[in-house]
Amino acid sequence: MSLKAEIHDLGYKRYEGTRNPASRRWRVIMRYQLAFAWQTWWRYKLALALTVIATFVFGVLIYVLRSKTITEFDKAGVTVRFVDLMVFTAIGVLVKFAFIVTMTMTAMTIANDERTGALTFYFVRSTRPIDYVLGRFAGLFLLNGVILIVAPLLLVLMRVGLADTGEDPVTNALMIPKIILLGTLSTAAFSSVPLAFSAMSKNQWTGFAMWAGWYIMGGQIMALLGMMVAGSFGAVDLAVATSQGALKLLDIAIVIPGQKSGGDVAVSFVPLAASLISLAVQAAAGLAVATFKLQRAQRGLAVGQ
Amino acid sequence: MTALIELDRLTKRYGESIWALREVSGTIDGRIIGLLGPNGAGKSTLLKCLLGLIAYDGSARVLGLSPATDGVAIRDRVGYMPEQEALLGGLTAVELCTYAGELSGLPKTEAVQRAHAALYYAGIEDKRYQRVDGYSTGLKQRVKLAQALVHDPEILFLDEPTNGLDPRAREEMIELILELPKKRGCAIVLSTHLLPDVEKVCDRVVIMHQGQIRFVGGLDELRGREAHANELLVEVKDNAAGLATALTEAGATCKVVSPFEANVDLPAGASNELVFRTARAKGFQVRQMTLRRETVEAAFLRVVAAVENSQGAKP
Repeated sequence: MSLKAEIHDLGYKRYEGTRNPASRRWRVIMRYQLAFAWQTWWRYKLALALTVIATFVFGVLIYVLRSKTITEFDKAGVTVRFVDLMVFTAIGVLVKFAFIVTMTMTAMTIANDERTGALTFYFVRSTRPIDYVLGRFAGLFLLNGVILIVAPLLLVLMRVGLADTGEDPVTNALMIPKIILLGTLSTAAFSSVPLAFSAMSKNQWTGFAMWAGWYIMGGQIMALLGMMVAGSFGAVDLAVATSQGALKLLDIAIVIPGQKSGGDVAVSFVPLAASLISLAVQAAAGLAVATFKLQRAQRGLAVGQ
Repeated sequence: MTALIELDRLTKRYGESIWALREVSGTIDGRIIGLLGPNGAGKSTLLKCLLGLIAYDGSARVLGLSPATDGVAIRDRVGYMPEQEALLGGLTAVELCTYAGELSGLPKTEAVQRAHAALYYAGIEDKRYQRVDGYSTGLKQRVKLAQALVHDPEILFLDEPTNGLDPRAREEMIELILELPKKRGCAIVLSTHLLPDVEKVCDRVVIMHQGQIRFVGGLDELRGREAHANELLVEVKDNAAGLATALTEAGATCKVVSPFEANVDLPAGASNELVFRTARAKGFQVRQMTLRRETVEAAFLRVVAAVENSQGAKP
């Protein structure tokens, strides 16, 4: 048998057409990110299925109980409509699904690419670290956006559509841009912060553990500080910032009636500005950290070794 | 015509004391160029500088462009086949090559077409819909070659392309590399420690040592063909030792390489006629006689040793 390789040629011609500018590489990476998410059931489909189910269940509850108010809160002098409480509760649940996506998709991304040599694949081409980060971020943003923007928006639309005739239509209509704003900031933070953690270490499990530790333990501590010391501390926790932001933006005043030992307790304890600023700052910081780490990784690429 | 690579006092320092590249100057041009050097010679730093991945002092031009300011444009026109795996899991070979093409600026349709063509060229058209995770080392090397080719580079940097391949796969890879300049019109810079590969495919070599270029030129120039015109490799039917003894008596210097081969250094003024005459007189059957040329490996070691000796000689 000949050792000669079989040389194939399909009528090769040099490519003379225009090339897409480097500033569009992020779109290619975003598409890859979406396709990657869709490959297996556990990366994204699981969280998506849970989101669909939760949205459906909360939607049914909103429809069925649209005229109800919470009597417990009535006693405290505050009227809370059941539909408003459902929207708030749904956001609290959806945030958990977004966290699942960060664990299955985001928290190991960059470390994994560094470990497998995929960063070399990207950076020996005309792909810059900023393109890589933007592409990853945009893909994750779209994936998380379904959970944190689309699903809450559907519930709010339903809630607005089922409004009583006595309600102020302008106030209700404003709920829509408000929930989009909150969902956008929350989605950005849930996409970029774990991405930054994944760039912190070359070991994918270290980044994973750091993110999980920060979100679960750090978040709990900050939420406690928020309740006990100053509300703004609670905004550091992404879940608290999102759900508390929803309370304020949707103007849901929930007060747990006072017991014998103490006064009434407001469930809403984080200032709205603190929630929104925290989400925006964490999203921006996450992108900055990831870009910085990737610029360093690019300089240290294993090229020619 | 623009040279592939032009260097002028290219310097890269890490901290105050570590010189990865020390005022490297020269022009690198050719069809298939071997980039050689011991570990730590500065090859990887040079490649990173040329790809515009790291900052440097001095000046460099790749295809007429400066890596310092046009790194992105250079990387659009250059392909790189890494030594390590550097493949994305979960993708088929076609998907991977298409992605590589798009990341290099090709429109999607063009990237898909060229991905198929590149995989076809690399000889893995029948496995192109399989995921690269499950590929053997040989197939992975071929996919790495295809992904480096897909965007139609003008220079292709190949980093240890035959590493880990069995002899057959290695031969096939060498055949593919040899065909590339003709079929694809691209120049190749081959970085490898396997010097027999360099001997087979390269027409020019660059030897680096201690952060400087120590040799740039053709293979013949490196091996000094003219200087060894009287050095022969003689192959006989049998008893090379007997022929060596006879030639030694006739004034030649001989070294038996195997039962069938001997290195023969002819005395001054003698020609290869001496070998034929002696063999005929003593009853030896000469099968083949070739100019004994220094191997690339020996020449490489000579260049490196010369650098180290000159440094040792300095006070």
